Amino acid sequence: MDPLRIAIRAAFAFFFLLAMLRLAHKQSISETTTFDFVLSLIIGDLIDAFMFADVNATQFVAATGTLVIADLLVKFVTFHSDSLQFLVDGRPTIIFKDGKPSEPGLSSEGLSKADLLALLRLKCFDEEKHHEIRLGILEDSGEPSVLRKAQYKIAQKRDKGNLRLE
Amino acid sequence: MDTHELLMTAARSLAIYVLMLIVIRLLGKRTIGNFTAFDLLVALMLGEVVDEIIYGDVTFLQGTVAILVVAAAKYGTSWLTYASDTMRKLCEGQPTILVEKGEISDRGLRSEIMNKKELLAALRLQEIDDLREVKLAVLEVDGFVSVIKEEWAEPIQKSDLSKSADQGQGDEPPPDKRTDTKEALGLR
Repeated sequence: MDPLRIAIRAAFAFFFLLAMLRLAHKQSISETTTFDFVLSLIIGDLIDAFMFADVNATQFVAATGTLVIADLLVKFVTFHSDSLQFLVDGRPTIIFKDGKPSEPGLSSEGLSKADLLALLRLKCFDEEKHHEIRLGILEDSGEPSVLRKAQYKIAQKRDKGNLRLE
Repeated sequence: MDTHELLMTAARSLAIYVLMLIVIRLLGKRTIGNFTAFDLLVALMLGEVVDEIIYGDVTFLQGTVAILVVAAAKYGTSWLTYASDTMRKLCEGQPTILVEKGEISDRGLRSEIMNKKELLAALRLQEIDDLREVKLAVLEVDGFVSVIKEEWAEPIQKSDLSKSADQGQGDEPPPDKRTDTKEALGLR
């Protein structure tokens, strides 16, 4: 396996995949959903085989091309059908509600108290601030969203008239 | 695996770690932050090559060649996208408007094959529960959603308060508590 062969294959893989990724949707780059993440793992492995094993260019193009097209198809289908979107991406889960953990959500996601605390900390909420939370959600991507109760929201410019001076 | 092989694996791992450090530093900060399509690519490819080298399935020379080719391709395309707007649009794509003045752009969502629920999730992640607060929401080329809020929904700034808050001179941190000094930044 000579270096020149590897060099040519690496260059080919690079430009072919660039074209493929440009054709795919933007979120495959940020790996927003589990699907996107898995896709990048698989493509990584395909690159590996192409550069270092006996896979030829046609096979590589067929494999990666099919994956990218399949990904786009899934995206297209879930765009149009809500039930299929639920099947592929799942649904966000409520893990915290009105200042208290939401047990059904925690158990369905298999989260321990420690996991919950960590997720809330990611959004800068320590235990002292938990009472400010209206809704804590675990999104499809695995990241937490935290929405505050009305009176604890960050003051906005439109609130200027209501300032209470200490 | 005998001791000799294990030692060789360790040696290769160390060597490749040093090589990768140099390559990534030379490729610049954007390789790890503000991702584009080919940053992802580079990460994937380099990862795979490193894997092969560490386990000795490929000689160090072959692996290095692969790494250098990928690095060169990345460097070349980076420079091209920097120099030419057309190349940039070709290689990186264009941002897409998803929400404008509180109204969701169905056309924008359609062109990105983005389900409305995904958009709402992206907004929730930025603690936005009211679409009216959104002046502009854009799907950037790296797949992230950036949000510009309406003026009235922006957090209160010192300039919004009375003059005394505006001056706030007594609030200056002493030099050893500052994070923005030249020393802190490592500059001369």
